[in-house]
Amino acid sequence: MPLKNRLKEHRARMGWNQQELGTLVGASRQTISLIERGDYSPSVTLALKIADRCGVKVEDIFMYEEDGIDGGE
Amino acid sequence: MEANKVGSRRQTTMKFWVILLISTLVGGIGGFFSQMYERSIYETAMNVRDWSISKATYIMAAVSIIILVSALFYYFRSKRLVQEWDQEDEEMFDKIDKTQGIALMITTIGCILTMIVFGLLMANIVNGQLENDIILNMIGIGVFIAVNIALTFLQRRIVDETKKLRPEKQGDALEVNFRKRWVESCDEQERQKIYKAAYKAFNAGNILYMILFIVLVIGQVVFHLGIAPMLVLGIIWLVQILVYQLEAMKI
Repeated sequence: MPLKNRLKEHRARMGWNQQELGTLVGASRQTISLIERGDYSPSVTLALKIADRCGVKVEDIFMYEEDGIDGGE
Repeated sequence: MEANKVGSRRQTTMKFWVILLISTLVGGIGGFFSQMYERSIYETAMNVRDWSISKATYIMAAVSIIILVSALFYYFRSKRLVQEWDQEDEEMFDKIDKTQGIALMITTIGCILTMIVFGLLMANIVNGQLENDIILNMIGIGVFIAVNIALTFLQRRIVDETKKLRPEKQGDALEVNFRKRWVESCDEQERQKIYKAAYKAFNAGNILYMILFIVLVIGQVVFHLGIAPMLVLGIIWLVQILVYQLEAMKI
């Protein structure tokens, strides 16, 4: 499932490393890394937790794109 | 659309009958040739069996050394990589993760392989060999016990090293409920990976059991194996399928 994200940017903005963000949202460092690389799509719960911790909406971090159509903007 | 579905279903049914026919032919031909060459197959197999039973202690020692050396190699390599890791490099993290995984896999395979060789040792004891063989067998049993204890403690050390990479992980490898505690401390991505791996193993098992069934049928013709092997296979297969189906029904 195509799910692009700007997680790395938001994480850097908050000054967290992957381990710290993982601890805040109850995920492992590896999971955060896989999400940032686009190799894993988080569940709704995890995506909401991440957005909440970063102080933004889910759509600001995760974008669903299908067949080249941008759903967000 | 409907016509396509019907066509596809017919194709699948045809394929099923073709596979069934080919399997029957292969089984029939295999059975025929095993009956034809029963004597020579039997003699070769008995020679291999007798040789491996008589050399069981040496095989146990060789297997133990290879397994321990390989596992320790990967364990110390992962330890060194963890020390060199700067806590940020993702490629290094993946490399360490893979090395630890290999080390753990070798220890698990080692336990199973030594268990198989232990079966040969028991066969040697049951055969009632001369006194020298009995001493050799005892040495073999001692090696089996020692190497499995060593592998268990090595697994514990590897798990401890894994926790340096993943501090959120829980469980001591020597605990009875270690697997349960470990999985409980996994996040959604890690559990998904475990479930995918388990499903793949389940499918591989089903294919293997079918192959073993064919081998045992042919083996019954050539070696007069008795009902025990087929019964054991049936029990293992049934347990696997039932556990899977009952768990799937819960969801």
